[in-house]
Amino acid sequence: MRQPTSSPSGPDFADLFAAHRVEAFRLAYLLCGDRDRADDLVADAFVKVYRRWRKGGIDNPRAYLRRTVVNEANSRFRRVALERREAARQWGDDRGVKGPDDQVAESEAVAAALAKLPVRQRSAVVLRYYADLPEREVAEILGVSIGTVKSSVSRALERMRPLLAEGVS
Amino acid sequence: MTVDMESRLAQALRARAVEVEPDARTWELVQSRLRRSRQRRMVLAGAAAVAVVALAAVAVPALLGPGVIQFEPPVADQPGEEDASTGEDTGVVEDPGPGEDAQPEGGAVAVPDLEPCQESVTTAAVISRDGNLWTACANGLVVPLAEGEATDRRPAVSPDGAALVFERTEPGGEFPLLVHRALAGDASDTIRGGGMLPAFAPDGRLAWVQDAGDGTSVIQFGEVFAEPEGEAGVPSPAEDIRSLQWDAGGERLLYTVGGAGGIAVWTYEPAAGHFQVVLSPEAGYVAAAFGPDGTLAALHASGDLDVLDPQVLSGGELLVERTITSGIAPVDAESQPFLAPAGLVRVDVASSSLLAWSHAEEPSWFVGDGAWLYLAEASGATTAVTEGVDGVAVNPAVELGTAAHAGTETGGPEASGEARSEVEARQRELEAVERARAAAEEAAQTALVRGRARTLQEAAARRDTATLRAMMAPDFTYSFGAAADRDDALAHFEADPGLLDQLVDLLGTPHGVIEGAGPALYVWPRAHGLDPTEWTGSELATLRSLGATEAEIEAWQAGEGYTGLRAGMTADGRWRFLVAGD
Repeated sequence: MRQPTSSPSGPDFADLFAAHRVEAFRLAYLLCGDRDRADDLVADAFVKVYRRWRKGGIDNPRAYLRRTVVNEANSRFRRVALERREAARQWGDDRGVKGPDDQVAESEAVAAALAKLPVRQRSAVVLRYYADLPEREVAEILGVSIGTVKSSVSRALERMRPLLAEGVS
Repeated sequence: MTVDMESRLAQALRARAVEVEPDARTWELVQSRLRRSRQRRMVLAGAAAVAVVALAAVAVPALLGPGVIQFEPPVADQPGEEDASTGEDTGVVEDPGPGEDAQPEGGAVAVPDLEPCQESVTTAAVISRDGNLWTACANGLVVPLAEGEATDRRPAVSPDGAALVFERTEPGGEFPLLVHRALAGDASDTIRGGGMLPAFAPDGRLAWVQDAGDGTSVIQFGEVFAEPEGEAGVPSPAEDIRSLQWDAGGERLLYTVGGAGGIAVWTYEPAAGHFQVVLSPEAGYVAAAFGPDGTLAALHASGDLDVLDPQVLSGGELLVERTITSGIAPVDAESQPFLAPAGLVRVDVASSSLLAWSHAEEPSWFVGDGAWLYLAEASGATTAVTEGVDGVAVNPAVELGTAAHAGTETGGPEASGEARSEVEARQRELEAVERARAAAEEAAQTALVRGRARTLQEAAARRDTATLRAMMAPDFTYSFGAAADRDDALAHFEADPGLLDQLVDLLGTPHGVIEGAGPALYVWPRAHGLDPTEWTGSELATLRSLGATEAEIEAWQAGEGYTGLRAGMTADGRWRFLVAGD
């Protein structure tokens, strides 16, 4: 027979929120590029985590939360419904929108380059270089093979290289 | 990119991240959304007077109209709608409370009031997602059935559509209970002793699995809202039962044992008291189910959905009649896959966030790979519907395809004479036979190509250049460098194995077919075989999953045509090209 379910014990949910909210928000911010959307996304992520946490079974809340944030950010419905409205306003597209100024800080160049990446490549880059996760963990979060992570990161860096070279003073 | 650039990228990302701090009201947002969820459950309980009408099949066509059912997944609330609470952060999430789940007098477990589909509209299916049940209504809405602290899953709908049975595990509870709930009216009950895996026979009998108390399992039988037929049940010779289903005739139970590491498939014939194992874990299947037309389908760990020769049920050899689709992602050994017949439905991704179920000619399948729910159509088209679903039960009383066709095919008030009707009926019959024959031929051809594509994909994944070379057509075309011949192309693969990873991803998507003056060519992604004006949401989703940006998609649809990474295979399974760009 399967193992019985049980209620969670240990720190309460408020402690979990306090411990991880900043990291979750910054991860969301890098993924979606917009502070308000990141707040909204993180709130949804914590709601989902709470429901699972309440039923028990989250061994690693930090990893689970990170995966939930990435999934929320990459959710097809959210992305299709919102990015089409937000992308032009926030970042513009490839045609006729002002690019970064010559004196822009390196972080601005990175943010602009990041925004031009496809969702999976952006997620892979953020998880590898911001969260500093090994490829295996990135693959688990994204639900892809390690090979796919390697190729996604490689392609993303190829795309970003000329953009970063322009933005670095 | 050099190591120095990578370090600077990491530093720049961290610098970017620390420029911002989360909003101090995020905690309020979380609490607000959890409270709103609880308030909605209370409103639903108060609206229990609204009855769900289980409609007769004859009434369904009128209600279903032209036959489009829209499945709209729940969308999270947006900021700005939170209530006026400005209380200090107490650090405590308000407990949603037991609500309607409270124990009534007498000790029985109270059943939460159903959230009915809108009045006069029937329930098309019941979905189990993230520990809660949802009803997919025939008018297209998907609404929560009940949300609470208990975990509800494994829904089963009775053949007449009147009753719903599901597993419920209370917080702190050791074993699941089986809950009966009428889809119309107020009758409700729990099965004494608990149970799981409810399965309705065509005649309405219920079978389920119960813990015998000594670590073994028994199969129980009974009628809805009545005591089990036998106190002892029928002991199962196998443990860890994961699914239970009756065949179309109600004479045999099929159940699976074990998980995504490989299942054994057993059958039990109640009349004869006979158990038999018909499929062993070594075959590599992770889920199996009967279809409404008597087919036996099985989901392989590789992601292939196969139709098996039914002789295996009689102890015959395991033969794959055809592969419905290879479009399911390989199943992780830790996941909980499932397979369920979907009836006569197909999916069209109509817009950014809506999936429209429309009527199909042949039965489709719901496939859960542990992360996503897919709808696999008989044509092989496979659509990722939503995530987090671990069970679906279609309402057998809603005959969507049949009902819709019955409502649209025949003539109205100006119907012609009997002779003309007979001729028209005969014509339709001949057309149906022709379609079936063509479909069978196409299925056989498709199965060949899919098998070869899987071989190519596996060779790419393990960097097997010998197999890759052997599969290349003599006129293999390659556009990632100056490849003069196949050996040149292979040298490029060795220097840039990321390309092989891209090929693996590409071949994991649905294929298209280009037919013209010459032999047919099978292409990946499917979008390459279609005019961009014909791309549906399914093609767009595939392109995005392969890394296409919105700007690229817009350019392709603006007239440029698809110029992304694409692969092609001849009808006899030779690898014809891997190209990108013009």
